[in-house]
Amino acid sequence: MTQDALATVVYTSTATQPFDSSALSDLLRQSRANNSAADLTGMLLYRGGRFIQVLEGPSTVIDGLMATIGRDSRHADMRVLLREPIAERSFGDWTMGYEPIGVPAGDAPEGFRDTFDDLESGDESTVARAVRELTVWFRVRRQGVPETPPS
Amino acid sequence: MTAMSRSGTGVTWARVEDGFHVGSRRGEFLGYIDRQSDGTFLAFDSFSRMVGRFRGLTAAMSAVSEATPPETPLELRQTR
Repeated sequence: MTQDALATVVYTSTATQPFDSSALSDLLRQSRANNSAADLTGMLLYRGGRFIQVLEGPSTVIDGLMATIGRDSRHADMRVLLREPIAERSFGDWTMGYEPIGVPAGDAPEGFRDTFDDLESGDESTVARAVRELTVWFRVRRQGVPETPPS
Repeated sequence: MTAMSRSGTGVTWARVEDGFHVGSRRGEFLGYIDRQSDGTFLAFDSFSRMVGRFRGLTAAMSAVSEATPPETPLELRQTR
């Protein structure tokens, strides 16, 4: 039996209207229910009016979902930052993890890079490193906090 | 950037959000630093084991870098 290989995709987009906590809750509830049924896991961030989403799962399922996500009128200017095969999931405990993250108040410390700038650098290795940094941050912030089951 | 110890050589530091920084060396995850509400910095290695609490960011960075020293270059191993 051939199994669909695991893949991950990271994309960014711009919200077409501001998302308050209620709208985010609705989005997450829908996303978690859909992902649970499709063997997908991942993380969603909403920062400064922009979405950054990581999806993991069977490669063909991800491709199909990306087409659907692209048609969602709640966002625009969708751009895929990274798509690659993976050996194991980074967000296996989350059908769609979420953690609030704000825009920094000032510049990064001298000599430091900025993860969100690097995400959109267009350089594959830089983007991959930035995704790993986000993953570390998310796992630290969510440590011990279970995801709300899909309703 | 200020001069670094040998263990800090080649380390890329990135800010994810205010007070949270991740270190990498040549594509490998080294660890992270998390600023606490009292202004101190907790440093963690690549296995999320705490390696110390520091008053300054630079000391925390050094602790993370030194928790996973870079491999000794082959030419130096041969001279030992």
